[in-house]
Amino acid sequence: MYILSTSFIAGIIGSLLGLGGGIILVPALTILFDLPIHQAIGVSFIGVLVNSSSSSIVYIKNRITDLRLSSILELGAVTGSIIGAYAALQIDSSILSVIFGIVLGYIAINMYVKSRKNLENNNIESKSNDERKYFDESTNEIITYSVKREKEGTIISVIGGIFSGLLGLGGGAIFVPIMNRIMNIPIKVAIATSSFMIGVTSLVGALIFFNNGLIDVTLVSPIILGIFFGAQIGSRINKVIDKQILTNIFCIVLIYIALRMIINGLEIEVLNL
Amino acid sequence: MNKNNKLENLTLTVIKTILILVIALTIISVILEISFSQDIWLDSLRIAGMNLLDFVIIFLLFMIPVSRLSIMIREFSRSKNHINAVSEVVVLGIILVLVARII
Repeated sequence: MYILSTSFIAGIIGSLLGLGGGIILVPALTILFDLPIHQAIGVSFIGVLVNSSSSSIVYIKNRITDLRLSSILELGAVTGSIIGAYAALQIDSSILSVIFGIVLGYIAINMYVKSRKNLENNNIESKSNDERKYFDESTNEIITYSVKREKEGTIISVIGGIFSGLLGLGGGAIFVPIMNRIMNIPIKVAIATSSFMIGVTSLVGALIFFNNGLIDVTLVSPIILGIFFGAQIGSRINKVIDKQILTNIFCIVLIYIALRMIINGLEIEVLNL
Repeated sequence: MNKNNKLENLTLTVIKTILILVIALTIISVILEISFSQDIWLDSLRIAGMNLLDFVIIFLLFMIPVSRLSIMIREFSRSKNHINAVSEVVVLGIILVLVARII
């Protein structure tokens, strides 16, 4: 029941911040339930898979997801996810905890900076034969864009995959900037396509961790339900809440969690010496 | 545009159907666990170290990306988007290798 409530809260926060449940679930399971970080990452893949499937339904229905683009980037992302997952199995839990803390801290600071300045590249120029379109409900207009630097994007998406496989996160914090800044994809399409892609990267991570006995089956059911219903509630709260205040509050929370993860990792390291 | 819509609709239907099934089965699993009756009949049949219901839930959840990859391969091949189709074939191949390692 405690795991169910924690996953539920992780689902709400993840959905509110658009980061998926893993970012809260992994620290919560390690700090609150003393679960080894490898096992927390293992079950986090399940949460990410549920979150990705759930959000993909909404994005595909709204015709924002670029399925052709996802099929190209998935190749790099899956390769990265395999590297990341196998690396995670080799890395000591204390070091993994410190890496998780550093990445979490980076995501929190990045999120805060973005909420202050509008850094997203929305001025998408389309000068190509391969034009793609989507309907933007907020502006009530059809946006046309074309994909640039596809090869470079695929190669860089390996990095997103590595972080996804290594830490049990979706990798959206890396995939979205790659698509938006490097490949000239509108931010909404980038978020939708990233959500769709991480289903495959998390499946790859889950299979590798499952094969190594690092997915506790008893935790799967509460995590599926918690993340799913939490994400549903979160997406509804999202429409009525002040995003700026919310982002500021959660940035502080994420930085606190990041520091706890780093300190936990360093404490284990010191105790082992 | 129509081909693209067909791909989106098929993908949407598959993801939605399997996810609803997963959520329904998970709710049943949690109810059974709370009612303590799970041990009596579900645990009698164990696959890969887990009871039948947990196995079906995980199997279906893992089938979401696999199914949509299969649909995308078929639709991309039909619409002659060979690069996309090959890319998805490679990804599906990697996943099947990983599954084979578990079996």
